[in-house]
Amino acid sequence: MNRLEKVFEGLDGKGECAFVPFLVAGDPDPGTFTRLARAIEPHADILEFGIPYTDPIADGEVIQAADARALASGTTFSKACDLIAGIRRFTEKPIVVLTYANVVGVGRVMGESLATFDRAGVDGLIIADVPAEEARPYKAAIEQHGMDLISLVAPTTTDERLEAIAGQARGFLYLVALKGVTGARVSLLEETRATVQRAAALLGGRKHVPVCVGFGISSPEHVSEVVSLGASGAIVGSAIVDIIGKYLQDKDLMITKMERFTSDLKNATRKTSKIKG
Amino acid sequence: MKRMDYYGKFPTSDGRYGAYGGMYVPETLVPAILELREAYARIKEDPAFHSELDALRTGYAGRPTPLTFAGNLSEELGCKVYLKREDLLHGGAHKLNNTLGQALLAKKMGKKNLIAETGAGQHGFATAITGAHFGMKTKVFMGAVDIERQAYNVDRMRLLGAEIVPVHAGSKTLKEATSEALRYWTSHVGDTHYLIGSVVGPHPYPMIVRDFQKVIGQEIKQQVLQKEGKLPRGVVACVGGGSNAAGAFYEFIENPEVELWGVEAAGEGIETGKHAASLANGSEGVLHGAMQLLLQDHERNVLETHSISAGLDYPGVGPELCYLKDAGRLSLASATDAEALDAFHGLSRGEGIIPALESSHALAFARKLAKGYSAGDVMVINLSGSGGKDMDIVMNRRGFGEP
Repeated sequence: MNRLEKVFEGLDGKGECAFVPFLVAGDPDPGTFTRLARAIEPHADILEFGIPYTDPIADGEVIQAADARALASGTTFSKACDLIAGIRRFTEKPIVVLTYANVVGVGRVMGESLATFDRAGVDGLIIADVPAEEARPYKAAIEQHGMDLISLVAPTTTDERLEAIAGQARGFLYLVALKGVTGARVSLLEETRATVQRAAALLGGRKHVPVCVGFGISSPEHVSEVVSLGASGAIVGSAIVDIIGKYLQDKDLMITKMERFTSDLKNATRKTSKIKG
Repeated sequence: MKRMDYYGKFPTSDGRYGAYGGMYVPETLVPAILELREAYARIKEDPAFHSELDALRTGYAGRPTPLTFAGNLSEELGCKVYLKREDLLHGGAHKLNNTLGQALLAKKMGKKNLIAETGAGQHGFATAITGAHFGMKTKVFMGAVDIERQAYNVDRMRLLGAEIVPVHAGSKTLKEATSEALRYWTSHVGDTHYLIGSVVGPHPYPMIVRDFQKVIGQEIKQQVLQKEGKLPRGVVACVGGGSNAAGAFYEFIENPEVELWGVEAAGEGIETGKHAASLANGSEGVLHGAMQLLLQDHERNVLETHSISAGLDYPGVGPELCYLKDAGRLSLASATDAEALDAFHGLSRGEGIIPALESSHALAFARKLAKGYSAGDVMVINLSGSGGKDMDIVMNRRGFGEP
């Protein structure tokens, strides 16, 4: 059983859902990133790290800004993997990375980049611009390294397509909760509720990977809500990264705020009794 | 050169041109792209669609555009030089061929809104024209740097009722404008058609844009046969994303005796690194939905490009041109900012035609190519656009010269 499977099994036993916080590796600088990762690690069930990239087309302004900060302080692909390897040294929790097709590369480059992710202790890859139609070479190569390609579904995904994608999925299914790019939202959209419920209804009762919901999940209330709608996990990115952007002048306060916010988010996965997805 | 067995084979059903192309987009966009693929497959076979488009091309856009014999230039270069006058198309560039086709397609699909990215503003302007003509709401994404250097086109788009959305990320040029248009489309896929302006983007866009632009080459072939009774020795076009080149070249792919020359922007010189020559200097990568040749660093971050011409200032290039390069069918050349400016002035004074700075790159290379041509050889240069939009840039860089 790999780390991801173990985590979901353990959470099932406790009646909890997974809390998946997201940081861009090297944001705002390598040292502070590592402090932030240490601060959130105790509250996380799975850690998700973005690889800084010049052209993140699935990301909204907050994460674009984080990518730009990380790149400006010298974190490109290999440095990001070094930082993740550093995190791996102090945690056994699963680590997934969010990246793009161009960062993974093709042919020989893909072989090298996947080996680097593997050596850094990565358990799964989310490649935001690789849909099912293009996934085959990525999936085969990633699985050769014993990692999982995390598949994505969205509000626009038809029922038929959703079932087909879920049937192939490994690790967990990343449910994109809204039509749009990453970014914090004030309240949970109707579209998000409907999509989570639809996925839960379609995939419930059968043997499928767990469903984690991301994009626009911004507060403990949102986490409770998606969990009560049937999700197995909640992914929070922009709302967390936003704290970094706000407290750039006071790193200690940034860490304190981050610690408190992620603790609250994790608690929200415990409050509600889980309806299995 | 051996004759290529090409037509009907590219793209493959999964949108590939050899290793290039494909559909690298977030899942949210996939259903909209599949819908576009189906709708296009339907209208492609629909005579009513084509007669409607033909009527627009002749009655509204001004097709066919002339093939002008450039007498003074021919004398100077020592071969027969013809200019394909896409600068005379409504809107002042070849871009309208594509926007009319795509907007008509979008209308048939029931879409109410158009969005577009633009660099030089020519595609944005053509989309704004089309939006106004069809009564569709139009938003144009444009880098803040380009908004500044192409103010004339910005004003014209606004006059036509289009909303300009400034993009401040990264290099604030075409690459970021395209990324932002893709992001916006992700949030508005239901009622909005993303009208991509070049032979780039996820499948089926490179095919759709090439199909709507290939009229350029079809007309060239007919006109040059009529005037010269033979095919040209060479067809020359500038390459940014590659739509005017793809349009001019497509008809000649299976004519091995016709040289196809793509001229990229060498900016301040290839050796300075400040250029936008992706076909010649790029490596395989994914940008804006397609595998292509891409200017990127060793850790696969996309490089900033440089060209005096905003329309060529793009780090990637259409997948079909990448394939034609690898297959040896497309020959590559480049022209620097300075060479393009010389050609800009040269054609203005020599022929009374002010070329776009993009097209000036093709003109600049023609001068070198002609050295190997003899008096009877025919060269066709695709004059993809008019230079009216470039007056400020030329004034600031070099002025207009003495009478």
